[in-house]
Amino acid sequence: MALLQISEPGQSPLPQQHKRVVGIDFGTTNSLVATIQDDVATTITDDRGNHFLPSVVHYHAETEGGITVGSDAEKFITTDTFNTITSVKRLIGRDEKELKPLGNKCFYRFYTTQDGGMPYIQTCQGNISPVQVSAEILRTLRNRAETTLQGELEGAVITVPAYFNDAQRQAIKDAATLAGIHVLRLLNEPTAAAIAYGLDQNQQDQERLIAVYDLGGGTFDISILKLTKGVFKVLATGGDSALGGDDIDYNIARWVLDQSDLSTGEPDELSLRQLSRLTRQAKEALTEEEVTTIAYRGKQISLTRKQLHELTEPVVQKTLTACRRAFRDANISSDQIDAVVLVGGSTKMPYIQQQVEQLTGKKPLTSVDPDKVVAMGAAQQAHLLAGNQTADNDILLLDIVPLSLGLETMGELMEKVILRNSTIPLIKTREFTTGKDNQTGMVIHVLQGERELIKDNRSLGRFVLRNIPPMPAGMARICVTFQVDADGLLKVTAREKTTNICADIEVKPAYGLSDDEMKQMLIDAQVRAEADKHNRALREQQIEAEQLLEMLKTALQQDGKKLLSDPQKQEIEQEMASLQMKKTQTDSADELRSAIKKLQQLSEEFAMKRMNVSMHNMLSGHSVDEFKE
Amino acid sequence: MSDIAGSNQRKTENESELYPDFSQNYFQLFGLQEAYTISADELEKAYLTLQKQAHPDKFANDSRQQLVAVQYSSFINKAYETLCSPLLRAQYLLDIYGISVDLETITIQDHDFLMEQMELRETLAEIKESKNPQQELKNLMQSINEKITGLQHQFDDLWQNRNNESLTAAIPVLHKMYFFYKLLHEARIEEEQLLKI
Ligand SMILES: Nc1ncnc2c1ncn2[C@@H]1O[C@H](COP(=O)(O)OP(=O)(O)OP(=O)(O)O)[C@@H](O)[C@H]1O
Ligand SMILES: [Mg+2]
Repeated sequence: MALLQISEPGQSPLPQQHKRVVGIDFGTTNSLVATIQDDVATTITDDRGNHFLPSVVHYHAETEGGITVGSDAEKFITTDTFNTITSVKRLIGRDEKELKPLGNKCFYRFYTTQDGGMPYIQTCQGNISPVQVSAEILRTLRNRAETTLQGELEGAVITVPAYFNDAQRQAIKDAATLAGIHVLRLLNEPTAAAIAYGLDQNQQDQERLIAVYDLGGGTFDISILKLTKGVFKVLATGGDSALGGDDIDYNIARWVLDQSDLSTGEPDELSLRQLSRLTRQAKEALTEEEVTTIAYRGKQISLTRKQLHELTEPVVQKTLTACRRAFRDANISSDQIDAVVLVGGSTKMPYIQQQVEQLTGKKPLTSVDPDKVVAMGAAQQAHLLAGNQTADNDILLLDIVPLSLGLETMGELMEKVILRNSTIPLIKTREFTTGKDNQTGMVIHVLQGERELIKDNRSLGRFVLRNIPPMPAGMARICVTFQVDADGLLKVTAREKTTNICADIEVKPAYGLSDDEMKQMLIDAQVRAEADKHNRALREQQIEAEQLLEMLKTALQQDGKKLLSDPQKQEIEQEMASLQMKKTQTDSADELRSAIKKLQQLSEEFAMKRMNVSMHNMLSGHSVDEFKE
Repeated sequence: MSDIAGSNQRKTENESELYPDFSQNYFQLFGLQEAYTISADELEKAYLTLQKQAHPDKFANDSRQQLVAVQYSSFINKAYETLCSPLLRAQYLLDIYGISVDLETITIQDHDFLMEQMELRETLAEIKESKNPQQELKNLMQSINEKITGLQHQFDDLWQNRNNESLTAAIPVLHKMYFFYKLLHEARIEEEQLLKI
């Protein structure tokens, strides 16, 4: 029996006991957001029911400031290539030097300032930092989550490839800040996957060694973990933050051009980019089929699985080498592994599954959707960090730094302070002294990487410790402290110890955006956030209006004639029509809210009458005594 | 001293409050007997128990406590790392007895030892050109490991005696250990190149 339910506008039907937190998998190709609902990790869909948000951002030329994110942006990839950013995760946190090896696999026009700052992407809306592009994607996910969870997010766990360096991690965190997301924690993708699988739980309570092989669109990660009940301890990690399905697509594209005699020397970036959309489809089709065709510029080129294997081989070999290295770093042999977990869309390829099986001698686990498993694990961790879970379900995550951190010393060499695969958090201090009499300053150059020469490693930042009190050479005691927190983010401080005058400074290693740039972006983001908030409020009222109209329509059909006089009925219908109109025309949530209220008040009497009738129906045939208690 | 309440300053009602004691030595921290020979299992167990209480993830909602947790959890990680390594553990034990050994800067006076080191290094350098480099390297690494084990036993004996004389004698043993570990490290790099990983 449909009673007319009237709830206060804006009030959520379900009380929210938990903090509103989510896990976000920011991917090269696809991004996802997940949360815990009824104790189960579930990915949140958009209003069209899509779980995945393609990581594509389109900057419109015509509408000023117009930005489209996701599947609606995808169609511009071929038509407005330079203003449509894909695979931004491959660019984030990378300096100019690091973009070079990507060659014409990254198809944008870059703009770099004279002082060797971070590259910007040139678009019709000006120079845009990869951090901003990423923020657009994160903001879209945030809005999606807030609509579904009906309220503001209190925090998110955001996953990053385990092999991301400090600059890349910092850049992701900044992108989240721009998107107005409070980051509870950065979490390594393979660790998130291991959590989602719940592999720490087993009947015998034994210690188990697992390998997580994660090949997505643009990054490869291998992690070796030791699991005991409630403890996830990462032993070693390895990978390549620019290796993935994109590279396979690219290899096929090159091959297609060779096949079709369309290649005239070095292929131009535009045709490669457009072609790699087609080759990606062909590659994915070959996961099911034995052969497929690629239609390109009037030619039909057929691609077989065998050919695909050949074109995939270089990528696979690189991943296997990284795996062997990780096994070695973990001090284990491949046959000691108890289980292998596959993560990432590219691991759907039969050839890759087969190669991983051969390497480890174990049939890989794929029971949790490899596309969603990372977001689900992140949601679980967010749930836990927010205190939404009881203590006995607690888990301990012991992660590591993927790449060594150190300082520049004499001879352009890097001296390592924290070695790769060290468990974090970790604080280490090194002591240095002055080389000259009365030296008052010292340059501290922070680096990350495994190589000996500083030029072969990633420079994270350079800062000067000033105000060292004048004293003879070798007397000063300068302590440089590296602190890596649980997110894997580095903070460096330096201080002169012999005197009371201690010059303490702190560096957040440079990922390229200056404080001013970041400030301006935050202001812009604030404006955008206001707009988002407005849109969400409006959307909520629209839904409210729709529900009210729907209910009234049914109620009128059923009981309108019986309970209302014609003028009464007409009045309600008129008001309904007016709300209907308002709903589509106004963009003010407040206006819509008062229209809803008006209709509610007008129909209140009708609602009461219906209630009475149904009560009456319920009670008829019973004596009042039956309901005494 | 009747004021019992005053001495009981810890908030017992809030068990998640952290009060790390950074003055503990690493053995005390893990509740282990101060010794060179330790049980890896016991160490691991104690380590995980402590991290379960101290890890910053446990204090995600309390930024003040989280700062303390980062410090404490780092301290535990560093302690664990030190006790896990036979080299660092030896160095740390001497340190507890006020003998701080700087591994990087000391010169060794033992002539025979230095000759041996030079020869081993030569062998390592020439392995690439040998007939079966992988096997040769394996043999070399095995003999280095045996030397290290020998030195560990020596150190353990000296440690157990723990008088001025024996502790002083332990210093060069520690240095030799360091030399061999470094050599082993270089051998591993060589091996990585041979295996192309
Ligand atoms: N059925 C399939 N067969 C082969 N490849 C596939 C299939 N489905 C997806 N892929 C590939 O998987 C990749 C995308 O995987 P995924 O969504 O896991 O990546 P991502 O999370 O966006 O990237 P990353 O984790 O590297 O940042 C693409 O290269 C896509 O072509
Ligand atoms: Mg991914």
